[in-house]
Amino acid sequence: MEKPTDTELMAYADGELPAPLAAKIAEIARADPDVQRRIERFRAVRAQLAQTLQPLAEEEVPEALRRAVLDMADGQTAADPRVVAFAPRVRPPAWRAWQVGLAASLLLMLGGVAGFLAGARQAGEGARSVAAVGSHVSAEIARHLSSLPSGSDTGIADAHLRLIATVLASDGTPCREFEVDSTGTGRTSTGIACLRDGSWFLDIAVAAQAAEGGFAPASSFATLEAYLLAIGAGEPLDAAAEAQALSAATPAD
Amino acid sequence: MPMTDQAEQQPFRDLLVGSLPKLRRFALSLTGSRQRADDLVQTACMKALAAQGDWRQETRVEAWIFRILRNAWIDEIRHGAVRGPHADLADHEDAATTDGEAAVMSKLTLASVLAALDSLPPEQREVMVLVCVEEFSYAEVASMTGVPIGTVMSRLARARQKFAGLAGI
Repeated sequence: MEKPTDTELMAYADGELPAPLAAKIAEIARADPDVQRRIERFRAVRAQLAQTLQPLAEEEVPEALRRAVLDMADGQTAADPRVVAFAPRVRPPAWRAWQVGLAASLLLMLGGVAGFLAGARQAGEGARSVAAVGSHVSAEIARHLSSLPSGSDTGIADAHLRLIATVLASDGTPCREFEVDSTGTGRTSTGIACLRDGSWFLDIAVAAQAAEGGFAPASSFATLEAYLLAIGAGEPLDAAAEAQALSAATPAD
Repeated sequence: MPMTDQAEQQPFRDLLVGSLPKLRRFALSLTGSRQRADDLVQTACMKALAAQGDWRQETRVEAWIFRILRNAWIDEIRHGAVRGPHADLADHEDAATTDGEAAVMSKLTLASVLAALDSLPPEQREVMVLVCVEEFSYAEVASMTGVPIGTVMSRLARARQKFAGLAGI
């Protein structure tokens, strides 16, 4: 056998090689201190990593998290759709509502979002340029939703628009995730607009104080995930499928 | 919405709650932040509950849920949501030793290991943690990440060599 490769030595160290090959490597290692040292190095990294991170798996799970998971699991029988306490961050009703049924989920989320948007509107100029939930998005945003590929971003009035992804709902409706960072207010609105009869409707939006660097905090991401789950959205489309899906959009102005 | 038989649902719920400690560790090693980790675990549990009908008994339930969490993390990266406040552990637990690549880690602390993981590309970080910490086989990791086993091995070898360099091993 020629000098074993690093990948072979690593697989040997991990016990992943078939017995005959493992026996050969063991023989080579006995005769070659360099090979032995390389094997030990792979083992040492694994041991250090496992040892250092071991205590994390022994930590007690925070009660709020455990409770939230149990509540989601039991959601089908729960009558009271109260908000899961997960202080100090806001837990939108979507956490509890996702299993209650599509209609109920939508109502709860839209109710919550209307409140968010009302606040956003008072707080900053940028939010005004998006739309009210359930209505058309502005002509400017509609134009960008119809034409810009995901991953791109552009300036709009008083704000910055970032296209995140395009998905298809279970009925085939194309929907786009996007973020609007309002200049100066530190607010980020994350939304999903869906294309129906050639027009973009804002289905859900979450306004949040932007984290450092202008990105929405993870909890607003979770709200959108709950919504995507509710509409049966598939995986994000690749560039070609996205272009195809967006070809159904007519110019908004 | 399809109703799952209660008798079937209880074990799944218990399996899920039972795997929370490991899911939290996995999420923390991917994100480097306790807050993001717990959010990610909650998202993954929500998705696992919604998709529990897709779980096949022949797959280890842990591997199945880990894959869901891993996919949720990839979605988050795509979404840009992970680029907010990030290394809260590195900031608070032993900030003095977390100079990232520049520092040779004489003593491996949790924060320095998380910082080293954070310096790896996401695709190397995930295979490193799945194999070395969570003890999944190469084949399981290939199936979870949707890449050939040879790719898992080359990523893992690169990740370990880089980590060894950082850790002075």
